[in-house]
Amino acid sequence: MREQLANALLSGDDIATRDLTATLLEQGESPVGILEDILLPTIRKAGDLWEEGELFIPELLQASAALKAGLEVIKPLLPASSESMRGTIIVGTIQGDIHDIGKTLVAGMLESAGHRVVDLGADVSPQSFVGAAQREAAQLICISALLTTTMLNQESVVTERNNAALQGRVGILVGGAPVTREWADRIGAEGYAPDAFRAVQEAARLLAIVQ
Amino acid sequence: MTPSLRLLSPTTVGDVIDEAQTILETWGVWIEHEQARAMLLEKGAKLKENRVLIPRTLVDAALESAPSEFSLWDVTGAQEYVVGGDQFRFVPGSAALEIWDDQKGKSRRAITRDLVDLARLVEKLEYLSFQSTSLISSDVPEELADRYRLYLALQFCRKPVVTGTFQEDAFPCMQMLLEIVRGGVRELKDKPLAIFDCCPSAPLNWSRLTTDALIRSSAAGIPAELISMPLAGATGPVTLLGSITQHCAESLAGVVIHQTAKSGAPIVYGGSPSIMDMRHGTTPMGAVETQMIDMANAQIGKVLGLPTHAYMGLSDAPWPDYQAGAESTMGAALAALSGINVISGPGMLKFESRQSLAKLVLDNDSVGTVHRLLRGIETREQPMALDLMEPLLSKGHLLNSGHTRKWFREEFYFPGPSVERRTDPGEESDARGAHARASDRVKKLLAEPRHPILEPRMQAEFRKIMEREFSRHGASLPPIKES
Ligand code: B12
Repeated sequence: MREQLANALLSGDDIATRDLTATLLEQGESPVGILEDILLPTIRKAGDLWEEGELFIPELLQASAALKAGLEVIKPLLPASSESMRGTIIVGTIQGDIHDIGKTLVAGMLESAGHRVVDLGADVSPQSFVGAAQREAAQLICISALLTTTMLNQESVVTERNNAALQGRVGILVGGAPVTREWADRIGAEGYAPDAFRAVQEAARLLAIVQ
Repeated sequence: MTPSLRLLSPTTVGDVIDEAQTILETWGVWIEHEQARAMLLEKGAKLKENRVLIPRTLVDAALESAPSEFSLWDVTGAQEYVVGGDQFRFVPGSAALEIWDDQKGKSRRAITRDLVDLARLVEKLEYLSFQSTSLISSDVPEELADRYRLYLALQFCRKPVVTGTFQEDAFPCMQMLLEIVRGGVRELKDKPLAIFDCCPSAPLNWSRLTTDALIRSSAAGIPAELISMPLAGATGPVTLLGSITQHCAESLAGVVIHQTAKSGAPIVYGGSPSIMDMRHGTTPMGAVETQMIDMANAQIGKVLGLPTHAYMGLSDAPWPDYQAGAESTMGAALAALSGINVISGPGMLKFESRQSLAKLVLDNDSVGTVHRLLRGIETREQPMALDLMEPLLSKGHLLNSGHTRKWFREEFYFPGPSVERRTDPGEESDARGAHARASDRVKKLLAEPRHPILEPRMQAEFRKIMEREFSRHGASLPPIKES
């Protein structure tokens, strides 16, 4: 049964993942056990397989969707103290910008690395980014910008975060085609990554700092 | 006979157009621009949960009124370029974020001098018919980057220009620059100088920015170019034909908005679609499937009776290497064989985000080859070989015969630095390769003396307009530097 669940998740079968998670719970498995021994290791394996070129993006994103379906079943049963998920991360494309594919990939990769991701979509205002971080008790905000014109608004999120006295508690990670490490430094964002894969590594680095 | 290549059967073309119309009738498009929405509703479109459903009658009427060809004129107003039929014209790929520094072998953000150099180079590259606002200058405020590109382009290159806005407030300024060159509103309408790119946002969305540009260009008599770009497998179906159908629906909605705003205004059926690379999450413009989509889109545009455009003849390689040459040359040939009228691509690298001057020189050469290919095999003499047998058999060759001297320049194309044909080019040249030879050519061309293109009076007006734009943004207009 445990193996079946892992297979369902890996093959992106969200309905089977949800049902098998429920069945295992009924059979007396602990929610924390299901999460830490089956769901999270399997989704990390999916990420590794993608890195090795075995899995492709559509399959990896669908595995993340299946993970979500399983989490919905066990989430209410997890003790508040056992925050086994790695971190809560807000993701979105900055105000004025509707390029959302890169952002969606970053969100998907972060999910498949086991993080809880709240995707705000595209054209997101600095206030909404920071508001969501407060509401969701997030440790990280990831902002995508694809235009040289909208990239400027990333700085407003940093300002907004600092005004809310969240500096040091909520990190900011920026990316998108025109964004560079220098730009991140200039606006006071703690992190930058050139692609979704390195976004996961950079997120891990930042999460370790802000905790 | 002009060589040509078509990928779809007439039946499939009919099916695509029919299904695209069904999509517009049943799903419609989301239009952010209130005025455009109201305009369509008044003409019989229906609103359904925020989406504008477009009936076939509206599409048919728009296609009926849109011209099948139009002309552009260069900055001097002397040279006319017809856009339509099977005429193909190459244009540098547009709006790159960075430039490949051919000397240093690395990329960097572009500055004013790069934009000037690029325009001056394009002026001299004979196979690039039009110029474009190809680079974004990082030494001016980002909010002004769109109009600043046009301000420089028109001063350093005579060719008609393919351009576009990043911000709504740029249009009036850009229109003014064009009108100054022509000498008035009426004059610009009579002799259009620019094409404005307008991109719908896949899937099936028309943003305020692009709808605004579409409506304004129709009013100003500036030809508009639809740049629909479903990403196959992401913002569009993964099947090539599915993506082609969605592209058709998005573009037809654009034609309807444009023709409803101004019946008979010139509009190009174009795009920059791509497949989604499922391993790396990128948008490869040089992929063979992307090129196939482009070819099919153009075939459909032709059946719809519109001038056509595509982003082809470009590459995703990071610098002008083997991949860059292969993707760009193949794309250029396929685009021309498809009879695509405006082909944006030369110089472009890395998923439409990088330009290289050396690559422009190399691509110019490829396009020269393509021009040769498209001239086809012509009948020069009758009989074709019979009368030559006597001199040939008696001397054993025709090297210096009248026949050879008469025709060799027309029959053969003489490629530039991209092609090495010497048996012994010397060790140094062997090692340096095409990219280095092209870089040398760039240096040589830019070192040639330059004569001002605009009259001093126009230049002064240009500066006045831009100074006003810059001061509105609390910045000052930088001086122009050339290499
Ligand atoms: C597809 C596309 C579109 C589509 C977007 C569809 C969609 N739903 O997303 C549409 C057609 C809507 C579009 C519209 C426009 N576009 Co556009 N578009 C592109 C294109 C070709 C590809 C973008 C893409 O999806 N790439 C694939 C994804 C996966 O890559 P990515 O976004 O870069 O993301 C990766 C990394 O950057 C990174 N990353 C991304 N976000 C984040 C965030 C974090 C936190 C981190 C760590 C990492 C990270 O990881 C991702 C995965 O590896 C680019 C060219 C390019 N090379 O970027 C132009 C481009 C970005 N567009 C451009 C332009 C000009 C426009 C328009 C202004 C055109 C117009 N005049 O209408 C409009 C703007 C609309 C708006 N207000 O936003 C220019 C930008 C020039 C500039 N000034 O900056 C580009 C560079 C093309 C060009 N050369 O002209 N566009």
